[in-house]
Amino acid sequence: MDLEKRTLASIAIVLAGVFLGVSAGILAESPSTDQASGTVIDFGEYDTVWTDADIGSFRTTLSLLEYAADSNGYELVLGEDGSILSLAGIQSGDGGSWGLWVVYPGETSWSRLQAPYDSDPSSYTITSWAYRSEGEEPTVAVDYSGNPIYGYAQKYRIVSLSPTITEIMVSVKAGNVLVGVDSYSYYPGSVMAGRENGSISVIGTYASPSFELILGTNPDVVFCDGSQRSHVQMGSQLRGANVDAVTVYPGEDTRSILNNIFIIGQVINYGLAADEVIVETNSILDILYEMTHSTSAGEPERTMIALDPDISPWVSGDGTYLANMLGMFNASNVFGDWTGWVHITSDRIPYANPDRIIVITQEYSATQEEYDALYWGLSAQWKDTDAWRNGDVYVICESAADLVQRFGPRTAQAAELLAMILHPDAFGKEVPKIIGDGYEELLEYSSDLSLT
Amino acid sequence: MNAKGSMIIAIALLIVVSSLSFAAPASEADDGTSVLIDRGNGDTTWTVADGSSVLETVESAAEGLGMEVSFQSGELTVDGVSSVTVGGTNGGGSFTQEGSTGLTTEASWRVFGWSSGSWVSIDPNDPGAYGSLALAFLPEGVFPTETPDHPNAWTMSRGDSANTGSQDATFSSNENYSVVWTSKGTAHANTLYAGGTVYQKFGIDRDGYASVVAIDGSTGETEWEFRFLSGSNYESSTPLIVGDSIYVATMTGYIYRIPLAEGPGEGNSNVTSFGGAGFSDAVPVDSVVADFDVGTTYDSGFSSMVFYSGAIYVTHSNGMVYCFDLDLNLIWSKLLGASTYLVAPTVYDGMVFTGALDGHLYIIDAYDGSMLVDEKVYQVQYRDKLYGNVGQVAVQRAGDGTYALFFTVSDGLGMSQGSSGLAVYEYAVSGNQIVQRFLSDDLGMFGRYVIPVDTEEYRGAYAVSSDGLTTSLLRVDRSGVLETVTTGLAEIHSPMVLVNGEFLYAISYSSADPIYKLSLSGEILGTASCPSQVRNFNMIPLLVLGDTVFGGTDAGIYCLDGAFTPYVPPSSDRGAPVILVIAGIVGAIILVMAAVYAALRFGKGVEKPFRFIRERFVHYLYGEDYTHNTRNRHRLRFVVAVGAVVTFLSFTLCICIGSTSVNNPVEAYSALFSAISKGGVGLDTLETSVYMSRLPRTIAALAVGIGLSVAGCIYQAIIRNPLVDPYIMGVSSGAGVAAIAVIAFDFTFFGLFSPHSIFITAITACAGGLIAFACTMLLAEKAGGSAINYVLSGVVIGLAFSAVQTIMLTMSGNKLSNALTWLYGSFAEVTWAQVGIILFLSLFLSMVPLLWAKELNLVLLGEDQARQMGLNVRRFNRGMLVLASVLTSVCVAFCGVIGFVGLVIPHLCRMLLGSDHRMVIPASICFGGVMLMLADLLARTGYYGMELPVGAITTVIGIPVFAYLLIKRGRMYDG
Repeated sequence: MDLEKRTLASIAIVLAGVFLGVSAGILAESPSTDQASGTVIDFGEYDTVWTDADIGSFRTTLSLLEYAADSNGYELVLGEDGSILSLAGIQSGDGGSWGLWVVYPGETSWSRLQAPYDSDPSSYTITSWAYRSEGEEPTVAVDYSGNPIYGYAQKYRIVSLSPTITEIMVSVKAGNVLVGVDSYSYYPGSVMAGRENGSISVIGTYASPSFELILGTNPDVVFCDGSQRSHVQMGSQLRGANVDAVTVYPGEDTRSILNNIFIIGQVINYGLAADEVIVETNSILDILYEMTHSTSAGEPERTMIALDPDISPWVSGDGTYLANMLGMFNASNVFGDWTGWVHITSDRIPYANPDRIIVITQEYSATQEEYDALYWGLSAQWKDTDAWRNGDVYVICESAADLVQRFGPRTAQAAELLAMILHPDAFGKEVPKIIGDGYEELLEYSSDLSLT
Repeated sequence: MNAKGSMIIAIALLIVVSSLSFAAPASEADDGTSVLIDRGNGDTTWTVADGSSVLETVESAAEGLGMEVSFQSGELTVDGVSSVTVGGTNGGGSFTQEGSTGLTTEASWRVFGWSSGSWVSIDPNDPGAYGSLALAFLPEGVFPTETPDHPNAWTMSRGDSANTGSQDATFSSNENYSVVWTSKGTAHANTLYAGGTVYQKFGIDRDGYASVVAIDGSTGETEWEFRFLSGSNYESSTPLIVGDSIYVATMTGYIYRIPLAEGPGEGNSNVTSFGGAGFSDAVPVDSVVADFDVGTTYDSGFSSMVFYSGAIYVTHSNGMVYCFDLDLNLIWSKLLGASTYLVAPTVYDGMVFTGALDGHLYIIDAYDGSMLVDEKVYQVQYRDKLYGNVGQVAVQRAGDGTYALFFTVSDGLGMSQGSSGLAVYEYAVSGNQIVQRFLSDDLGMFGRYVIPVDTEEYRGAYAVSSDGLTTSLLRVDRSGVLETVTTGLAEIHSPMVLVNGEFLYAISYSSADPIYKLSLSGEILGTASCPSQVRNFNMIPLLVLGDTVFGGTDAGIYCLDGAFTPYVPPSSDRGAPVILVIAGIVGAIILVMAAVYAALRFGKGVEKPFRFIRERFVHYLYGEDYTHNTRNRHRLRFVVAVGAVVTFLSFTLCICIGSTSVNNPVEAYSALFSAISKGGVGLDTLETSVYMSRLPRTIAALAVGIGLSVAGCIYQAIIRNPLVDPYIMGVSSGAGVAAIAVIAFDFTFFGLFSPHSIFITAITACAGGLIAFACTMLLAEKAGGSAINYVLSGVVIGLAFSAVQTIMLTMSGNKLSNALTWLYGSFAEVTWAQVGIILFLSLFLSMVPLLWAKELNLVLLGEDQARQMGLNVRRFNRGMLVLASVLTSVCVAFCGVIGFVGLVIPHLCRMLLGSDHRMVIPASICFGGVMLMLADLLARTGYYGMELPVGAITTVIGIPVFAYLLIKRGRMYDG
């Protein structure tokens, strides 16, 4: 074959490969977002009502709402412009108004539509009729991958890919339907016991769950953690294999944690139990908020949260779960100018001069000797702070370190621990400088949230 | 006798024994008449009695069972009762308004004789001789369902109106059970059986139709099917068989009556509903008749029905209890304080016992519908609302006009219930008082059913509870003494059944767990497995006729025949162990070698066959008498043949071995072909594992292995440096920067993709790799465009991108681990949607260098020599480098950075075959794919349940092989 022919053949082969490859990519059935057939009526505070309906038979969102209202026995009053004056006896007014929010396919955020509500309901992932005051959004209705959280059949075999999800499952009293967990899910004891007696399988590690081991548990639904890329991909893979997969949001703040509890409760039809956890968590957070803002709590504390006691430690910048809690409990983050977890230069520590330092570490045990070793072994930069000079260096270790780093149903316990450290005067008690496995004994308001 | 003969005799015996168990009445003997006592509520007994007349025989039979029969003035009286009338004066009762309607129905004791294959109603003084007799408490015109031909029947959800779940069975087989037949459908309603036919209600199909199917009990063939439009998959209420009719209650508010033998007929012409209305004229019961403040309302429609004293009793989720006659005319209705859910009311001694979702226990007069007891038993408050439920009530007479009542309680939230417990009450008829003897909600989670046991050894009730970890069998007696009978059972959701008063049968919720046969002391006497054809979740009880057993799952119903096998605790061993597979392969190789040896030694008379083969083989590859081209052709054939065989074996190994099971090749390939024939939909666990998990990543590994090896081959030839790998042009660093931008910083390619698209990382990484290569090319061309310019530019650009990558990693915070997982390289996230792209691009692009193998050989000699041979070296090099870089970018894009393959495989091939690219490239194609397939196999199975980085595995397994070859051939190899 001469040069020219070979050149042409090469080009033809390359083009054929590209054509076939691209065609395969386009033709391959990519996991699509399921359309939950129905609509949500949202009264606020996680109080939602889902109505199953064949949305293909409703030409407008309004006719879908009329059906939902009728099915639930709610009276619906519309204004002349098609806006909702009142639904289920709750009138649009100063306190809030009824409106239609939708999530578009491929998205996770809400968009508000205005009356008249004449668009086709099947063009959205989900529709929610919510009573909200200005600036508020409806209760979460899609998971982190944009799939609706409603309309699932009853789930009996559930796999959790993260320790936080496992904790949420147990907190909503659904521990008995767990059939698979990741290897880091060793809390609470009932899960560990289930792993030991074989009723709960381990399906891989938190970072790298095994598709085949998950399928081996024959699951009804698999809960993935949106903060792990491998979980998001696993969710797509599982849906491709016709296994329901729901991805919860990265636990960045209390809201996202409560949303995750709500999502899991909805998907597995344990909504009431999830609601209990949410209500209790909110009420404890309210109490803690009041206490940390009371006169006995004193001035806002300038706080540094570090992940190790090294000369140049990783510290919490703005936007982390713990930093958000500082804001909630009348304290400020001395490294709030940064975002996320930051590897800080040692000079910055005396410059920031925190009043209070919290070290979260698994490297130490909760004994006075270990605390002394840590405290006196800190570098000169650490020692050149008011926190060190006043002895306000707190260490959270052992299972307490797990507690404050897992964004699950025990968030109120983590919050109480943190609030206590930040404002011991408001709690009127001596708070140990190093807190480990015995943390539950310190808890007063959230002790009921312990899982077994 | 040979094995085949024994097997035939065993099968014949099995058939004979099975048919006997179907055909023979329970205790028929030659020296008496078999008599059926049918108490008119599903509770029947077969006995044998002697007597000179019908009356005498019946009296004798009843006496044997402790019943007293008298016949005076044409009226037959049993235990003081001759007839009962249900219903009373009109109190305005309707479907929506409680009260009597004025209609009545009457049941009385009657005698039947078995004549010409059917029951005939006869006078007790009838002089005729009958093979069998029946004494039954039935309305006029209704005949017993059980017959001498088919002495076992199961006519209502728990067998009788007292909901005892108690079955009589005849066991005769010692043979291990086998699956007789299966039938597909969603079985949420209990299985019924009459006249040798199984009746099963199935949940809705794709068109929204639920069905009731009559299936021949011995063959599994469908006799008729009744389809009706339903509202949900949970058509869970069980039909009812009375006489020659089956009644089907639906969640949409209808009750249909269908003739048992004829079925629904053309266009459901035989089907009638309330008041005798035809199928299409039927009007349903209203789903809402009252607002309830307490408890949940599930809109589950009618519950399962029971038949008692000539009337049908049923509850509805609208909160009503209804009593109908057999023509479905309403006799009375009674409104409860809340909705009810599916379980049949218990009717016992003229009283209806039922719970509701307000946690109340209700006792209603079965004859006139008047309320006797309405008492709160168990309620739980969530937020501002009260919830509760009382499960199906088991009743036992306790003497002195009192009854012991056993039932479970809960918050009524079904699968999501947060609290439930077990209760024992005592009910005194005088004064209509109920007194709590026991109630605990601290025993784990209970279902809705308990099973009453009333034997000489024990009088009380059994129930299963789960504490979230294990399921226990508990029992509680009338005074409230609780015992744990056994623990450690698999999760059980379906009601148990009591067989012959001595065995409990319980089906595990998951088909992967056993069906248990337990003694009343909790010993596991035997187990069976759900047939693979219908493996799914199990919500309904077994129907045990004896050796023949019917069961059902969410996927269908099945018939087993034979004895349950002794219980063996579950083991994690699945499939054939790897060692056996390897031993099989080795054995096959030895056999082939032995055959070849024998053929050569004895067929052709060769003295030393193996030496002969080796010499012939070496001659074939290196024979001096062949021309250079012939030798090369021979070697190429050899490489391709060996490569194809090794690739096939590795591929087979990869689809046989997984982290959940090791399967033999036959199993794995049949699962694979079965999955393909199903189009990847509705797969079982093994099919899913093979088709969805193992196959795509094996194909991807094969394709990437080929691509990287060929790319490495090209780079090494063009750059003439043995240390060059596919990443020398900076492709991996560029791809890494782009991938980390997506993973850690949510780069969406300027909004082109959604953040969760499965292609965004791949496409961005591919683009990043090509951008890095473009930078390298630009720099190299500016510097003169020689091979060494390319190397230096590639290294520098690679370093630059690596530095950016490191900075980005440092700033990626808690997404660091996500980014690192990608950088390590893995096939864990490959889906079918991506496999096509990788495979086609990699295979086709890898084919191009085959056309240019001669030129690559020339370039390897040096640019000057190549130029002298007429090759436009610069243009050729540029083209090949572009090709190799695109190939590398495609490989990196989907699976991350996988090192070593591209570096070492070409060297391995050169060491083995010399430096001729006509052989090196095909060999690299074969062995690159094999190496990466095996590396991925190790990556996914090496450490239990954990995905290991495949790049590290390739290095770990590659280094020893490489080191060995380097030692053996390094001296004569210069790259």
